[in-house]
Amino acid sequence: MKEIFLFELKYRFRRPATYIYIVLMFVIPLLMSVFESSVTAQYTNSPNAIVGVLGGMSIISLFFYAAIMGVAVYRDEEHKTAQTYFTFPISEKNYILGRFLGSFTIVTIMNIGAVIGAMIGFSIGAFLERPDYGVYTSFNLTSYLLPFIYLLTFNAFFIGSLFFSLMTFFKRMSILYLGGIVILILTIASGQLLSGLDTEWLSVYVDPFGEAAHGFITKYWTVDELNHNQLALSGKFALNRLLWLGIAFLIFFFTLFRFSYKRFLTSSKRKSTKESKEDYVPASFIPNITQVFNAKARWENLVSLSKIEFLSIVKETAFVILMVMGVIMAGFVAYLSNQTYGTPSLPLTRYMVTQISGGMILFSIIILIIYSGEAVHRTRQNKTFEFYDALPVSNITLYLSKIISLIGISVVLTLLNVVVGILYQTFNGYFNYELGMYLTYNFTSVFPSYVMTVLLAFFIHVLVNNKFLGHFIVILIYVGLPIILGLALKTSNPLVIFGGTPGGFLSDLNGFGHYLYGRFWLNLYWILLTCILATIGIVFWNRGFFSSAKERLQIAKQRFSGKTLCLMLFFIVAFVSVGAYSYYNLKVLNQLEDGNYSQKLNAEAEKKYGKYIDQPHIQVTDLKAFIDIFPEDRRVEAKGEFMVINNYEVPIDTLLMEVKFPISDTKITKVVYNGTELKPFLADEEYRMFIYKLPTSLQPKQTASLVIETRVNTHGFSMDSETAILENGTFFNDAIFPSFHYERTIVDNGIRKKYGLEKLDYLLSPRTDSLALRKNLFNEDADYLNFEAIVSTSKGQTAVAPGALTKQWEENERSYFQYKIEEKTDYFFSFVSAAYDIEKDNWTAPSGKKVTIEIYHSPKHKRNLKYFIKGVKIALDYNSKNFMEYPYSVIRIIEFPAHSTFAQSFATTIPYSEDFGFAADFSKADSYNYAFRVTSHEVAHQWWGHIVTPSKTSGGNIISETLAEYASLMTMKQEYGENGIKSFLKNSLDTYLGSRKFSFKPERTLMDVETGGYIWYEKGSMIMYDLQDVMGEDVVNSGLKNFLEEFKYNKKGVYATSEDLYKALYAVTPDSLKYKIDDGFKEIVLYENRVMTAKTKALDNGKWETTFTVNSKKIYYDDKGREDRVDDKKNLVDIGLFGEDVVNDDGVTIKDPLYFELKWLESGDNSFTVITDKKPLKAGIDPYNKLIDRNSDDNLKTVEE
Amino acid sequence: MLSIQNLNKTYPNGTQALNNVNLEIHKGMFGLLGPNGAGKSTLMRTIATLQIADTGTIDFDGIDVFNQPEELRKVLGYLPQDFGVYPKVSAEMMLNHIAKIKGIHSSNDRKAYVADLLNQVNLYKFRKRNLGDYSGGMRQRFGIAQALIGNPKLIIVDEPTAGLDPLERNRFHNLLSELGEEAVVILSTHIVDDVVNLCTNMAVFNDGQIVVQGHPQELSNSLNDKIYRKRIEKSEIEKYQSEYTVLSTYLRSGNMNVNIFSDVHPGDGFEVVNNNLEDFYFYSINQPQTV
Repeated sequence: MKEIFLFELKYRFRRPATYIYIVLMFVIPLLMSVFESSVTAQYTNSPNAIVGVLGGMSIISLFFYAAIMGVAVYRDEEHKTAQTYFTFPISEKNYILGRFLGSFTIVTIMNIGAVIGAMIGFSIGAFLERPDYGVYTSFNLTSYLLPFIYLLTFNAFFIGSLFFSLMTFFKRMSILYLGGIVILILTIASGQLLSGLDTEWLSVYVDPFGEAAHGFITKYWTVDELNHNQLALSGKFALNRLLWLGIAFLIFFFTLFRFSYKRFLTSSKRKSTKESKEDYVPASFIPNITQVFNAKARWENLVSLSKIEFLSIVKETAFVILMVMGVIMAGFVAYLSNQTYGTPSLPLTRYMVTQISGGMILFSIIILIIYSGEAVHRTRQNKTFEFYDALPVSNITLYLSKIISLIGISVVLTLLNVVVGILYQTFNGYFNYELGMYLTYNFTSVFPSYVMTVLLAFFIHVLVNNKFLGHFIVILIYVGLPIILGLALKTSNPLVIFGGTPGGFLSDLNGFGHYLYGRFWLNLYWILLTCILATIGIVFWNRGFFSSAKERLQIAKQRFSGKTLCLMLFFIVAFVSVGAYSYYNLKVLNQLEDGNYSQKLNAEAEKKYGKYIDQPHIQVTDLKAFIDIFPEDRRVEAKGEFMVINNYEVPIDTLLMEVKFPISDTKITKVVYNGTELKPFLADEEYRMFIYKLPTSLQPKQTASLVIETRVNTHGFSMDSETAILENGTFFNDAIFPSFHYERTIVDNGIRKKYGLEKLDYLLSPRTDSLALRKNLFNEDADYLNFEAIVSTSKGQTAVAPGALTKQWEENERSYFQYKIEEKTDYFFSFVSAAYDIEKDNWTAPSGKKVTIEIYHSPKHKRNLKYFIKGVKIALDYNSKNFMEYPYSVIRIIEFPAHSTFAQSFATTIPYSEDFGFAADFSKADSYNYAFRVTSHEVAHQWWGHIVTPSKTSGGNIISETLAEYASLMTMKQEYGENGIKSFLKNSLDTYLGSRKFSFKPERTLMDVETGGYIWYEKGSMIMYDLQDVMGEDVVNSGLKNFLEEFKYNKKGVYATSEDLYKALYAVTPDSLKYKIDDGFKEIVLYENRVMTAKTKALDNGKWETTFTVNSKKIYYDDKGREDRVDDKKNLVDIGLFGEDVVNDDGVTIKDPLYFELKWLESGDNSFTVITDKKPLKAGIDPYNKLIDRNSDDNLKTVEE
Repeated sequence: MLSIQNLNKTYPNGTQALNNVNLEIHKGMFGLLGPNGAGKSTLMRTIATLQIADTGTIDFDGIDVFNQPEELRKVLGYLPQDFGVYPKVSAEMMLNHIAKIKGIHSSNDRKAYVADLLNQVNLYKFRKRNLGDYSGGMRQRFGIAQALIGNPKLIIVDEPTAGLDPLERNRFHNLLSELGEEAVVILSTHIVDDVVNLCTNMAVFNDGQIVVQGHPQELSNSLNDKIYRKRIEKSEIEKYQSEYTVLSTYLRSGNMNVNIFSDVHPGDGFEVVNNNLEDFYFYSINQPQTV
């Protein structure tokens, strides 16, 4: 055995490939760790980050493990040495063991290389002066050693055993590929499962590499834990590791004991022994054959050769299996991703095309790369070329036939995308197939990338003339290059990233939009480049025995003439022209800069304009906006007639205007101040900052008229999706007019340090800053103002701005709409235009006032309108009754295209993404109706945001978001009952706990939160729900009503702060519960509640007496996630006993409480004895997870008898 | 017809496979005899357009092989020494495919033609079987069939009878000699009998060079009265090798025999062997062999 082992090592060390693998295993983690960065307080080289880098190597190294472990035994079969080898006096076990350990040693050396690579990489990273890459901690060997053992070594052993076993028993390369692909699927699947709250538990079992399991256990970790906790073989992670190690050992021992020389040598192939009985009957004439070699014959040859090449791929079992895997993957991806908030979406064609191709792409690319290699090497591998290459068929015919067959395969795979999509829709009972969209999408987005892949892979294989090296280089170009370009150069230039095209999105409103155009040119650009390569391939095509580079060059020179030369010149000219045209569009007509450009620009701007922060500036009191939208040309012309005021105590002599519109070509064409046209004395076209001198200073309290004209144009095709102005579905906001003040944009302290900007701990002013209290959080360019707008658009489209529609007319083939807001409001307006159907309803206020409800929607989206209307009505009702009557006569929901998924509340008007409920399938009883939920949240913003607007201070945003969330939760409670919001709270809890570690600033309390939706939405909703639960909804609402009364419409002259909200609630809270307000608003508090023991016994009277002990702990954390102190006071917590779960009238499974009480619990163990009528099955503490608790699984425990 | 001039080829590893080869080959069977590793296959591949030489030219019937490989391929039939097949394709299908490539485009003609061809190489019965499941001999016969498609004017067969049983070998010889009437047939082999039986002309090829060229009978006659044979003891081999120019030592009915070359009768129990091409072959490559 020792000899076999040593032979294996020696053999490996004589092979150059071994060194290539080791070097790659060293270099890849080195690069990854050099470029590892952290934007949070997590150390760049924290134990968790090291696990990430080394764990990630397991997938990459699949390829190397296969090459080393797979062939150890196969080699003897391949080189036909088995026949002799097995007659030597070595036992089978020793043979296998020797081979296995030998190759496993090599693999371990590779893994050690990876660890050293990561160590060096992180050291280089720490050494370099790069504040934007995060903070490094000191070197800790354990952080590397543990992932080396638990991840790399375990995985190498599993993968090694598997490949070793597969090759030993099947002796087929294709089986090895399949094995690798199955592992890949499991890995991808486990990642997908991990992202779902209901499926995440499964990922622990499915994940062969332990990364998903690691993700699972660290899900709720804080930054501090990520920084200090080492990878430990415990809990679910241990379960995963030991499970897969166990499987590895099973496979290993199976191989060891089942292997026998005899079986290895017997070929498992079934032979076809077809033999026809009939004798040869000579044809009546022995044909006097004629040979024809004309053009027609050549053409026929090409067709017939292409057919043969095509069939020889299609007939391969491996091809079919890969395709089936692709289909399964596609179905899986579609199933998991075609949902929002756990509620399935309708399988619309526009979803299908992207999801199916997303699932298929990996397998399609694998198929195309593998079979490009096969096409090049097939005759060579089976040695048919020795006579085949002497047949009278031209190189070009031979070459083209292979390319045509591969393009044929691409067509098959592309059509498969369509078929799978249609099948998926059919299985889901959806029959509205949009075949045109299927074909357009797949043949403009999917097929071109297949063709590029084929041509590139084919060229590489021809040139490299070694199958494995060829595959490797193709994968390197395909995967490695974009990563390197992305990481090192931070470029997104589609002209340098292989296969890159401008982005885009599909929409029911906007269809393919204007995006096909740019995509067409970039696809053409890349296909032409690969065509040039393919033409070069012709001259290097290996025919016969030409092997040395010199000979190939000689042949190439000879072949490089005539037609080939012309063809190549044609492709080069075409490529250069298309490239130049694309460059002109992307870079000359439009902006295309690398990733650091905007960072740098913003940093420079802060240095130049930082002095204007907090300086007095004009504010708007009245705005009449004239907006002309030209959807077909994707351009906008706007004029704003402003009345402005100086609200400060000093005169204003400078007028600052920053253009913030998202489309780069946005120009201020005219500025007229009090009748005088102004020209800027400073025009920074790059940052789009323009500074004017006022002809006469604007004195305090003095007003002036200001007219600003702007123009937005789009040109050709751009890398920027330019979603603000679309052919059908334009949506932009008041940024169509310039901003009158400067605001800093770089908030990450690492980046600030890099550019020499001062460190910022808080982004907003403290609540004690009297100036900031007078600033409106959403836009400090105005307090409450009067707003009026005339919006025009193409005939056939409806243009909408906030306010009541006062007039509507048509003029010059254009439609005009005039809107006016009935009450003053904050400076926050939207402008939308598309071809809409309008669904109308109305709601009557308690006072009798009628409010029109309008849903502007795509004619395709009728299905869920009722939920939006219900959401609007119930939210109007709830907020009007509890806080203040809705002040306007209209409220609208307006659909905008699916470039993003959000809804945003402007006064009277709520633009709403078409992906946010219009295409959802709410037919299942327990599905979470987010259309209703989001609608009620946005409607609540009419109060919490627009009637009461936060000040520009730390924590201010909770007034808008937490309160809208609260109001929305209460409407849900009203509509769906307590049980209906359980799953919502569960998601809130999960999101809050899971997001804490991603915060790029220390974790703030609710009162101080500045960034981080997870605090103002999720934590906020948990806190507010708990408050109304313990002290009553009415009490909370009375506090909120007082708060609204005090701050509405800025009548107090200062805007509200989070502290004002806190005080308003504190005032109505009974003393015993005040700790809840303090905990919720001013602290970071997590509970650790669990049931310790629970026993029940039957009493003589038929009742049941249950004794159970619960343990409760409330822990205060600091802003880094470190435990600060454990509370020693009593806390109010739910306890209960439960019978079997019941299904309610709506078909939703709910708990059946036999006993349920709020109790004051001591810190630590608390015992209770309770008598119930029925026998309890479970005992629980905080059983509904109302409190924030990282482990909610132990809150319920089965009662023993 | 086939004219080879000053052909030279050196492999990157330094082996000189072709060393100034000059050959004129006319219609009929031409035998190329040489030991393993002599460079025969290199020469055959070079003629068959599968390899290029460093210097020299090959001309066939006005076709410059190096510059017009495609023209040569139209009239070429080539059976390599070592070749593979598509394992999952039947012989019939493959031959049909090759026939098409070789310019036989009428499908009826092609079908009859391929059937006839299959019959000639005695594979008709197995025409539907996948090539991967053929035995070595069957595969060789398939190779022969593909080389004959399209009535080639230049037929190159490299070690064609390897793996064939005597019956099939005869069949093949008959087939070849028939073709030899109309075409240039180059038979590369190290089996002397094949050349004796079939060829009108031949060359001995060794170390990348043509050693001698001529008619087999004439060549073997040239050594008449110069070859002697004797039965000896095994232990005496070394002694004889040092005393005589030993051409070959071989066993016959279990006894050791030695053939030597000598201008005069060596006496000592030697008897004359006449008219044996094998002895001429050994003589010409000047390298004692044990058969």
